[in-house]
Amino acid sequence: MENNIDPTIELENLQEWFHVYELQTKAIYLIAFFLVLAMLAIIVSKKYSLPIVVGYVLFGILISPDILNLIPFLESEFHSWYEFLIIKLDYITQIALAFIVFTIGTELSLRTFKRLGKSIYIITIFEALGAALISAAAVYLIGAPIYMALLLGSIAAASAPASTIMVLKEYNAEGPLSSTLMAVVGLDNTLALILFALISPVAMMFIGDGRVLSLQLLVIPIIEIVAAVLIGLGIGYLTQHYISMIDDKTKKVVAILTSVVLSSAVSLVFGLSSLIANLALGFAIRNFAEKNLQISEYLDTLTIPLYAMFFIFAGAEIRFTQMGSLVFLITAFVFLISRIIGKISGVVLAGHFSDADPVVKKYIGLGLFPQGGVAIALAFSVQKQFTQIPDTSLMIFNMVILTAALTEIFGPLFTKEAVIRSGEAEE
Amino acid sequence: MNTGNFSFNLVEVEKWLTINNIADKEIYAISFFILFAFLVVLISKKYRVPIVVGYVFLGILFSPDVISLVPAVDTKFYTFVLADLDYITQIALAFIAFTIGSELSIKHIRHLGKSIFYIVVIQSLAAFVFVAAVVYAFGWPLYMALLLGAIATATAPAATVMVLKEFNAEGPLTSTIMAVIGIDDAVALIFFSLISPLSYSLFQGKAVLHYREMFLLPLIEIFGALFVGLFFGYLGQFLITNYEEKTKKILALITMILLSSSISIYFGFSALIANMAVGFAVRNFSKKNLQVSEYLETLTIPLYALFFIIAGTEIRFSEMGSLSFLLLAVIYLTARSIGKIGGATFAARISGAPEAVKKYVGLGLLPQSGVAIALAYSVQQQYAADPKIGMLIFNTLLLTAALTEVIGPLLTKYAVIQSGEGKIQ
Repeated sequence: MENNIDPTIELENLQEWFHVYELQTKAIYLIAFFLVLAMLAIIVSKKYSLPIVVGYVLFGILISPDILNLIPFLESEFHSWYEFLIIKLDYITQIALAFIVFTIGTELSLRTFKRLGKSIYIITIFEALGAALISAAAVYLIGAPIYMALLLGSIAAASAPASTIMVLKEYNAEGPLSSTLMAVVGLDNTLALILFALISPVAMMFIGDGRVLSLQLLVIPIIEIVAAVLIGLGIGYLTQHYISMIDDKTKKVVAILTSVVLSSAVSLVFGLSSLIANLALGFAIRNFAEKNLQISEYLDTLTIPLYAMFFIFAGAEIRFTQMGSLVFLITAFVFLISRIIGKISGVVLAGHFSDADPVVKKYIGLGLFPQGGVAIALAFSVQKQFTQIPDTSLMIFNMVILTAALTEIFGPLFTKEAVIRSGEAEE
Repeated sequence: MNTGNFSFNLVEVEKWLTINNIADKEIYAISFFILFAFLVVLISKKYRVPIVVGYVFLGILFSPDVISLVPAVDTKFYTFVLADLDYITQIALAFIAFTIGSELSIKHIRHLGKSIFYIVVIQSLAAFVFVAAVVYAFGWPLYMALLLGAIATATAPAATVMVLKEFNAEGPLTSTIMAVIGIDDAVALIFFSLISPLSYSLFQGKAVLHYREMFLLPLIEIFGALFVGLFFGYLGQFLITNYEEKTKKILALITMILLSSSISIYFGFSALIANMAVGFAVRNFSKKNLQVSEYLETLTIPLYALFFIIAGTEIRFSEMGSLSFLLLAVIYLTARSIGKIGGATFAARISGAPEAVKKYVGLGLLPQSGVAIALAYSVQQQYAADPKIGMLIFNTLLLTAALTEVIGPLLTKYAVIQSGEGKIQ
C-alpha cells in the first residue's frame, strides 16, 4: 500500500476516534434509515406507477443536505456526521454500481440479438451516437466548457429500460417493437459505458491536467477498455463454467458474488474501469453458458437492498443551491431537448439503412426518452473521478438526476403512445 | 459522550479517508475475503465440515498477527480496515438473532417449555459455579474468578444456528438448542450485571453495591428489547403478509431487522434480544407461511461469510505465549465445557426431556464469541487499574472464541446427525 498517509493522523488514534464517536453504530443507524426510506419509496412509486428507481431517487432528494438544512432543529453537527458517514460507506455504492452494470451485461443475450437481426445494431448505433453528438454539440454551443459537453454527450447515449418495460407489460404489448426496444435499450447502455470510458481521458485533457492530444491519449483508453473487457470475460467464463456444474445454492451465490467483487477489485488494482469489467462479466456469464444457470432469482434478491441504497444515496447527492441558477436551468433544458432530438433523428436515419419493421422504425424513438440507472451511475462516476472540477461535476450530476427524473416520469407517456399507435397494445 | 482530545477533527478524517482511498481498500478486503470464502465453501462441502468452521479458520489465517508475516502488507492499515468493517458483523448478528427467533414456534416450545427453562437455568448456573470455583482454586483472585464465571455463562448462537440450518435439522433437539442458545445471552447479561458490581467492590476492597444497577438496568435492557422487537416483528409480518411483490417483502423484512437493531442500540437495549423477538413475532403472529426464509437465506450467505471470517481475525497470537495465560485458558475452557454439558444433561434428565435432548443437548452449547468478547472487553476497560488481569481475561476469551467456534460446530454437527434430526445431502 502507498505511503501517502497524512502525517497528522495516527492510525491507532483514528481507530480510537472511530470508537469514541461510535461510528459503527452510526453506520447502522444510517443504513436503517435508508431502508425505511426505501420502503416508503416503493410504496409511493407503486401507488403512482412510477419506476422504483425514480421513487428511490426522489426520496434520496428529500434527505439531501440542502433539504435537511431547512429543518431548523437539526444541529449542524448532524450534517457533518451525515456527510462523513456517506463517504465512509462509499464502498457500498461502488459495489452496488458494479452490480448494476453486471445486471445490464447479463441482459445482453447474443441469441436474442441474432433473432432480432442486425437492424437492432444499426438502430442502436444511430440513436445512441445521435443523442451523444447532438447533445454534446448543443451544450457546447450555448457556452458550456468542452469537457462538460463531452461527458454529458456520453451520458446522453444511455436510456433506461425500467419504465419502458413497465408500460409494455401494462399494455401486454408484444411484437417486434417491444422486443426490439428491449434489445436496443440494453445495447445503448453498453455503448454509453464504452463511450464514457473513451471520452473521460479526453475530457481530462481539456481540463488541463498537462496531457496533450496525442495518439497515446486515444490508444491508452482503448487498451484499458480491452484489458477490462478481458478481465470480465475471463472471470465470467470461469464463473459460468463452474456454476453450470453445480446445484448447490450457497456455492452459486458465493460464486456470483466472488466474480463481481473480484472483477471490481482486480480492475481497481490495475486502474481500469470496473464498470466495463463488470459489464463484460455479466455478458460472459449470460452468453458462454450453454444452459440457463438459474441465478437470476438469487441475483434479484441480493441486489434489491443494494440498489435501494445506491439510488437513495444518488438522490441525496443532489444540491439544490446550485440548481437555481439560470445557467444551470438553460443547460439542463438544452441537454434534455437535444438528447431527445438526437435519439429521434438517429432512429429516423437508421430507418434508411436497416430493414426493420416499419412499425419499429416509426415508433421506437418514442420509447428511448427515459434515462435512469446507468445515466445516474455514470454521473456518479463523473463526480468521483473529476474531483479537480467539483463545480462542473456536481452540475453534471445534478443535471442528470433532474433530467432522469423528468424523463422517467414523462417518458412512459410517449412509450404508451408508441405501443398504442403501433397496434401492439392490447386494449 | 467523551469527546476525547484528538488532534484532528471530522473534516480532517474525511479528507484522510478520501486521500487514502479507504473505499477501494475496503473493496479489496471484501473481495479478498469473498474469494477465499468461496474456496472455503468448496473445501468444506467436499470434506463435509460445517462451513462456519472453514470461515473461522480462514479468519484466523487472516488475523493481523499472521498477516504481519507477509511483508507487503501494512499491518496497521489492515487492522484499521478490519475494524472499519465492524458494523457488518453487527448487522450479521442481527440476522442471526432473527433466524433464532423465527425458529421458535409457540407450538414446539409449548411441550418443550419446561425442559428448556430447566436447561437454561441449570447449565448457566453450573458453568458459572464451575468456572468461578476452579479459577479461584488455582489461586487467581476471587473477583477475577467471579467475572470469568459470569462470562462463562454466555453462549454464541451464530455458529450453532448455522450448522443446524446447513444440515436442515428439525426436531425436539434442534428446537431446544435454538431456544436455549437464544435465551442464554440474556441470562449471561443478567449474570454479568449481577456479578460485575460485586467483583468491582471486591477489587477496590470496599463493599458498595448499587442495587439499581444490579437489577433494574438488565431488566430494562431485556424488556425494552422485547418490546421493540415484538412491535417491529408484528409490523413486519403484517406488511409482508399484505405485500405480494418480492421487492417489497425483502425490503420490509430487512428494514424491520435493522430498525429494531438501531432503536435498541440507541436506547441501550439488547439488540440481540430485540431481533430474536422480531423473528419470533414474524413466525408466530402471522396466520400463513410468509415464505421469506428463501430470500433470507440468499441474503445472509455473504453476510455470514464476512461475519465469521472477521470473527476469526479477532484472535491475537502474539499475546498468548505466557504460561499463566495458557493455564488459565485451559482451566476456563475445561470447567466451562463440563459445566455446560453436565448442567444441560442433568437438567434435561430431571425435566423429562425427549431422549435426543438428554443425550446431545450440551454439545450445541459450547461456542462463545460476540457477547462474551464484548463482556471481556468491558472488563478490560473497567479494571484499567490492573491492566494485566484485564488483558488476561480478554485474551482467554479470544482464544476460547477461536477454539470453540471451530470445535463447537463440529460437535453440533455430530449431535444433529447422531440424533437423526439433521441430514447430510
